[in-house]
Amino acid sequence: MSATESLVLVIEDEKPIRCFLRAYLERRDFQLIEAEDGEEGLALAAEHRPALVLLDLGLPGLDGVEVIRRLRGWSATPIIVISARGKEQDKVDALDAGADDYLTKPFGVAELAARMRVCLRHSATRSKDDQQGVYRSEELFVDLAKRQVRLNDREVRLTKIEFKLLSYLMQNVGKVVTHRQILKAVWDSDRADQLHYSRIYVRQLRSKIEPDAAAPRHLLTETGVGYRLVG
Amino acid sequence: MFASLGKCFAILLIFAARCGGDAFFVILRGAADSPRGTTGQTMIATGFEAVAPEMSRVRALLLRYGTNVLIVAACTLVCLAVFPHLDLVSFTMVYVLGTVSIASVCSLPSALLACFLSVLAYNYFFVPPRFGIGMVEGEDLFTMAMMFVVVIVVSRLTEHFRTQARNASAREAQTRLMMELTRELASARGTDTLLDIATKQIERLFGFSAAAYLLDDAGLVLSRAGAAEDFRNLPDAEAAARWVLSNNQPAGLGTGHMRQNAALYLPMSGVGGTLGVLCVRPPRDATGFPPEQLHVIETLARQVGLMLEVERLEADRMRARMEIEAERLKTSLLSSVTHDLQTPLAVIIGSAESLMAVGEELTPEERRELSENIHDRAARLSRLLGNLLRMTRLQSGTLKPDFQLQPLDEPLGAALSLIGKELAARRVEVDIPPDLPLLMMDGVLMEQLFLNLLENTLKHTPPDSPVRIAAKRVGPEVEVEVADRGPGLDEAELEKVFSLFYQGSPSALQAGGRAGERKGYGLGLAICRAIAQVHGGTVRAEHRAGGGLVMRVTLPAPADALCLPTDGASCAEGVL
Repeated sequence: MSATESLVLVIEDEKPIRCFLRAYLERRDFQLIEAEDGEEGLALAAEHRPALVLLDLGLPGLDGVEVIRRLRGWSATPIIVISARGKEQDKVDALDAGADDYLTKPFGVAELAARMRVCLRHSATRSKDDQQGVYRSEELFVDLAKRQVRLNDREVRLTKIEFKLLSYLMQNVGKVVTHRQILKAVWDSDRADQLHYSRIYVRQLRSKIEPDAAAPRHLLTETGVGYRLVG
Repeated sequence: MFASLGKCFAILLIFAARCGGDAFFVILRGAADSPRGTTGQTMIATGFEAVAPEMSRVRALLLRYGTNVLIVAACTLVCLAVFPHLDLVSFTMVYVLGTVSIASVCSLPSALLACFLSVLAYNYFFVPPRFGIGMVEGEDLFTMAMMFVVVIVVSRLTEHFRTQARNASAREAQTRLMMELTRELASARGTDTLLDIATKQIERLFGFSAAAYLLDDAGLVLSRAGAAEDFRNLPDAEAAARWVLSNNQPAGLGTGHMRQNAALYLPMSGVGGTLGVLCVRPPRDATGFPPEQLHVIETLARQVGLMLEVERLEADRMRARMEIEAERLKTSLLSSVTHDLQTPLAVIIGSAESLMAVGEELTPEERRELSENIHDRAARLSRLLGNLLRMTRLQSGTLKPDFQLQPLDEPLGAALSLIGKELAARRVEVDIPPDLPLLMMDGVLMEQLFLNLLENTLKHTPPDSPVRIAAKRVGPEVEVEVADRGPGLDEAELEKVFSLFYQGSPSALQAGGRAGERKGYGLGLAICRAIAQVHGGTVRAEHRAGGGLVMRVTLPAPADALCLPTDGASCAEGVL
């Protein structure tokens, strides 16, 4: 983490939430600017170029997903979405529109700060090409360039599609990717009736890269939304 | 004279010959038709006519044969009147006319009787020796024989036509009966009503006892309709019904299966399968049903089967719709309650965690603000839960209101003090005339009503707009209004806001109120209405003159108006 404070834009209409976010995050090396609705948020983002955007989906006026779409039109700034439980489709829409991660209300501030740091780190490494293509954890080692996958130092053979799926997940390591995004990236398809493809291949992939496929540690399920490769 | 008579006779002969051919044909067809024809008549007869008493039958017999005698006597009189002027053969024509007219109306025996009487009278009065029975020979014998032949032919013909007419009218009656049944069934609603009508019709028309087995969720059940008791004790009735149900074919009396059974079992089928079994039991000693009766009953069973199917489909449709409605309500409740639980919880958890994690580093103002937010949201949550609980209990009827005579100030004052902090920024005008009668109210419920109205106002109006609360007596009622200068409501929404889980239109959400407060849980006003109704009153939303919204609560005033003491010693003081 750089010594300079990261500028975070909070777009949230509930004042008490902004209040505690400011109180906590400012003590954790973040600098906050606040917006009450989407229009104001977009204007502030254009003006201040924040390093990260925290966005509440249930905004008055301009819809949260629409805010993401407009922001993505000109900015790659990581966006973390905050939404209510039971609105999984909203999250999927937000992620499809280009959000990086999401949190469900009520959420803990420590967890939020941790997610924000992950997001910032990824956006920092994303620009450096040499960091890409290698995944290393306790048991798992993947080198995309050499097409090499090792689990506990044992060579694992992946099919073409499994490899494509894994490389897509690695490009988005730490991020939640939706079923639709996977379908588009791996199969280049946008058909709603094929959304189960990703589920089938993720299961296959897990059986190969997870020590215990029933309790995955690398490739996690985000229920109702998609998958996340732990970074 | 004689020549003309001969011509007449020749015509008669030709006629007789033609009729004879016809008669032969008629007799053949009659033989072929008779089993059906006669049973058909029997069926209609047993079906529709009460058995005539013995006396009236004797009278009918006398009447019929008496008429015969009279007609023959009349013919004889005519012949006697013209006797000196005409030839003998002409008289036979008069008698032929008489007997043929009898044959065309009456049955063959009475026509033959008339014929015999005519021959007798002719012989006695006109054939020499007159006034005595003499030997007949030659031409006269031939004439008399021909008379018999003509009478037989005409009688057979009329008999044939009469049978046809009777059959036609029987068929018509049957058709009319089926139409009537169908009409009655079509206008009936409900499985029980349908079966009731069907079994009653069978009993009324044929005198058979009838009942029905119905296939429902619990299996094959004997319906209460009709003579269910007769069948409950009938051996093998249920077994027969089960067989019919699984084979979709009739069983029992007069059929191929279980013909020893005392009753007939017919499937009531729709397009999608057999839905029940119609049981018909004739009076004792019957060995079967005439085909026509069977036809009517079978048609009836089919008809009822189709109606039952319609009924079942309708019930399924209703159930599906209710499930969808319940599901929709559940979803709406879930989404609204989750939002209204999660947002304050997010504030509470986030603020508390911030205080715990970085509390020491915060300024006193920041700490205070966080604590206040926690308190504020916790209080709101508590109110939401209270509302939810109250609504559930009001709707389920477990909440028994405790009505007491009390001044309006009490619940209203309590509500105002509860929400006082949030109202502090506003100008609140309260106008309650001192002579307002005491009202029968449940204090807790009424406080909730005003609390919800005030919260609603706070939620949907700008933070600094004034609120006016006024009460007045209007005839037998007391009206309380809570009026604001907020954005008001669309005409269409004035009523909708009181429905459970109504969240407001998107435009109203954007236009109205404090930021972050736009989403109600759609409970508050629904509870207001429920509480007002418990008190025998109403609550409605109206446009306010000059802009804004008026929530008008109407409560019935007690008949013998008890007024507050006007000397200022208000009993509500303690609460306010």
